[in-house]
Amino acid sequence: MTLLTAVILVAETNSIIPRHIDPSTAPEKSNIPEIINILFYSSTFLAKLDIQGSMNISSSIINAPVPQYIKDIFNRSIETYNQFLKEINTSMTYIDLAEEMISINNFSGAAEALDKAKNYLDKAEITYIMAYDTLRHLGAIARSVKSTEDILNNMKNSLDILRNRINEIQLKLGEASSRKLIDVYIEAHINTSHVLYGDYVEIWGFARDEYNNSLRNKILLISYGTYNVSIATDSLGFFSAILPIYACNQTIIKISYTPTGRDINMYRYAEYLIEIFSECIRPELRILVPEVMYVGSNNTICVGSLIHNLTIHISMPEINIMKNLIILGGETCTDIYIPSSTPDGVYSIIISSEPQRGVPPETLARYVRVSRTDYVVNIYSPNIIFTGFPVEICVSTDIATNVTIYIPDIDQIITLNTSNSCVSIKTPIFYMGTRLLIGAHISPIDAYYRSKFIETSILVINTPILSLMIFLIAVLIYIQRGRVEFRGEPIIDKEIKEEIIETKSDSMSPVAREFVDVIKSLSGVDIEKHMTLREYVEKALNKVIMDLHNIIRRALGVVERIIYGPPISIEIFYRELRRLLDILRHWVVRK
Amino acid sequence: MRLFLYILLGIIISFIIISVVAYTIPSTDDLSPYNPLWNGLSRLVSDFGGRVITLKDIKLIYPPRSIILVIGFDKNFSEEDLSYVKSYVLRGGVLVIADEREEVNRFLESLDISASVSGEIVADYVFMYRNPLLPIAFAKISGDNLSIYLNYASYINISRPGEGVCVAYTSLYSFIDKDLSGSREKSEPYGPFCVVYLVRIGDGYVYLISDSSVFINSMINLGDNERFIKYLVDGRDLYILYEPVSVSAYSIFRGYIISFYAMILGTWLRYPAALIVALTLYTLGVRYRDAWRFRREKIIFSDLPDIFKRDFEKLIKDLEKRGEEK
Repeated sequence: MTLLTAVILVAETNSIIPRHIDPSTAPEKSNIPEIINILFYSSTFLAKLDIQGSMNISSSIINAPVPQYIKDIFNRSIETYNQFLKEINTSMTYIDLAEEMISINNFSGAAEALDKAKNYLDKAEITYIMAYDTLRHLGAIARSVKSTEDILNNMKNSLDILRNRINEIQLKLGEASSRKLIDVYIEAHINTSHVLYGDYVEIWGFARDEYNNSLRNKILLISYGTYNVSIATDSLGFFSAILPIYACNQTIIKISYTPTGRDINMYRYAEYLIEIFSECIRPELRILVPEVMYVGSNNTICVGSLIHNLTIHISMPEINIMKNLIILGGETCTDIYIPSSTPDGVYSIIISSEPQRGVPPETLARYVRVSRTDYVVNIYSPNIIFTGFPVEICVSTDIATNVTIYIPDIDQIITLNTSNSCVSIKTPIFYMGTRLLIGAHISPIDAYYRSKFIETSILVINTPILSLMIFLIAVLIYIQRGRVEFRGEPIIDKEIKEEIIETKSDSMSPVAREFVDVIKSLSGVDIEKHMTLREYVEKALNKVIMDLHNIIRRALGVVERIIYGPPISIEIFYRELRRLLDILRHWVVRK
Repeated sequence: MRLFLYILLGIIISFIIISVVAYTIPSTDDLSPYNPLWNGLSRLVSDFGGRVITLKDIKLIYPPRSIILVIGFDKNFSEEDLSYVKSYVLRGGVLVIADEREEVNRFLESLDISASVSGEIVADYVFMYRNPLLPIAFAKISGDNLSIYLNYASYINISRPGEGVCVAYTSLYSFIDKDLSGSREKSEPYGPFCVVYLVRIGDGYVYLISDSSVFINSMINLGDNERFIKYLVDGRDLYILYEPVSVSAYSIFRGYIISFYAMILGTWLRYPAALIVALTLYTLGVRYRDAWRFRREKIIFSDLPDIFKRDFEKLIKDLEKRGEEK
């Protein structure tokens, strides 16, 4: 009946409509046809040579989860398709570069770029052949042959378009090369070729054409590394500039002229290179920060460098701390105050040196843990609590705090406003839990000390149950007091016991007496003083018919068991003896 | 007296059977922390050491060290309940609300969160597990890219940009399957859709997840769902607020049985219970030991062949009969 009820209840539960389906039994649907459609969509962009658009789409399906059986061919197809896109993209980049070079009359550069474009287009053609195999295979597995054919057609179209474009540019390059442009010559000088970092150099010179005519009012670009400055030539083609050197070691300064506007059809691109050596001494910054920086207090940071009188900027950008420091020699320390509103966490500390003559700037970053200051909290509570009796719990801290004590088991939240105070709690008399959990949340009044949560638990003694159990055990001991027997002595030898029986035959036990009486009535043999019970029975058996011998022997065994055996199950043996003696008595009566 | 004993024995046997049933047949409630089947949350509880709580327990949880998961909403919260939850978050707690149904929006409003769960199901033909209705979302948490496997998920409407941040999106190819047909119609817009949204409230955080299934036993080990939950928990004590979900009659019944055993074994009642069991066993042991000894010692002529033993018994019966006749 119980089982039936349970089954009905389970069946009732199963009828609730779930919010989800079991994923392991969900009908499986392949996403491959959809992926092939997306590839086709990507290839339509490719056919229009919108490589970026095509790449954006194809890269979005790289990590698509596909069934295991198709994973290899899918990965290979996507890989070859994306490789094809990259090669087409590179080829296009070189084609664009070639066009740009032609526009600035750099024909050799244009020819070189065009060669590279052709080279990548050839590679793309090889990749197309690989893609042809893999995509057709994928299409056959996914039963989307038509879509994969369309993808391949679009790929082929893109190859054709690029091939045509290369041919066009080739022609354009030929035409442009045949045009006569005037060469430009730049002559430049520098006041020194060996400088220290941060030094200024003066560069001057002239720009002329191949007919030695000055290039008037033309813009020249002076550049090195990431630094560049534009200057204009005067009416004599003269130019001069003073520029700082923010570079180390060997540095090439380039003075270049790029024709613009109508000059494109008149002058060629020209450049002049000057090599200088800039000497640098690295400051080799080092920083010593404490393992933990405490909120609301000053924390010492030490910075060292090989360079003396170096100005250092120290910053902690996440918490808007900035400080300047001048390193006087060796290591110089400074205190940084962390505002008390700063949350605990790990913050970056960045030091950067200002550049000096011959000394480039250097930046160093370290991470440091910012934390609130620790303090000591003690909770004093008894080890054992008796239900129904109040106990005192004390919390002490060495700073001013607010303390909230949580005792979830008895639904109590107690707030203490002082840092050293006690609270008396009393568990309900019938609280059944074996332990009482106590949590204390300590919130310091000063924000630069951290909050703490301390948990402890006290063993609970349930007073009524303990009393009841003690009472019950006492009652049980009282009831059992006469029944328990100490039996520490070894089992006494049988012969000795028989002697005891013999010597005490006058005061024979009632069981033996009754047995002897029945045997005597049956056999007429009386027990003598020197006889053991067994000797007596052996003697009596001679006077009794054979039918009764086994009964008498059994009765003797039971009597011996009652007298000599342990005082266990005596009632059962008594009952059996009584039955055997009754049979013998019936026989006596019959006799 | 004997009738009373029979009734008592029947009650004890019934209780044992009921206990065995409760132990062997688990709860099948959807999103139940006690349900070890595919739609339960037992793995979440066991793998992450979660503790199941009710609304009234929230006020006793220390917020800065804890995270509460509210998975599935079937019941409206009272104003008092909401005040507990809000106070918990304001004091630094992390609350994760996971549901795909619109019922959750009233709860979000009461927490002053403008984002809402649309209630419409998101499907994805490309980034899916077995079926478009089991889409995959992508999250980047602490520089780690995670694939979150969803199951009949909805999406989150963000009406106040800047209020929070979307932590996980579905793919470009996901769409709203308004008619649950499993295929995309023209009126069904494409994604990506936000499915995990994070809002800071006071000192705490609220994560809104538009799918309750991320946490169920059959989904927790798919993709990076387990890692995602690890990121959410982030070393805090995990609590699962179970009250809002409807509970079946069998689970209530099973809950009573489990509570009964918890009350006996987990409280001070275990000591008197142990005493009673010990005394009962002692009494039964003594009785059966005596009976066993008696049985052993009854055959006093153990060395006799069986045929004689049978004769002996027959003789006794015969003698008894003859005595009676007499």
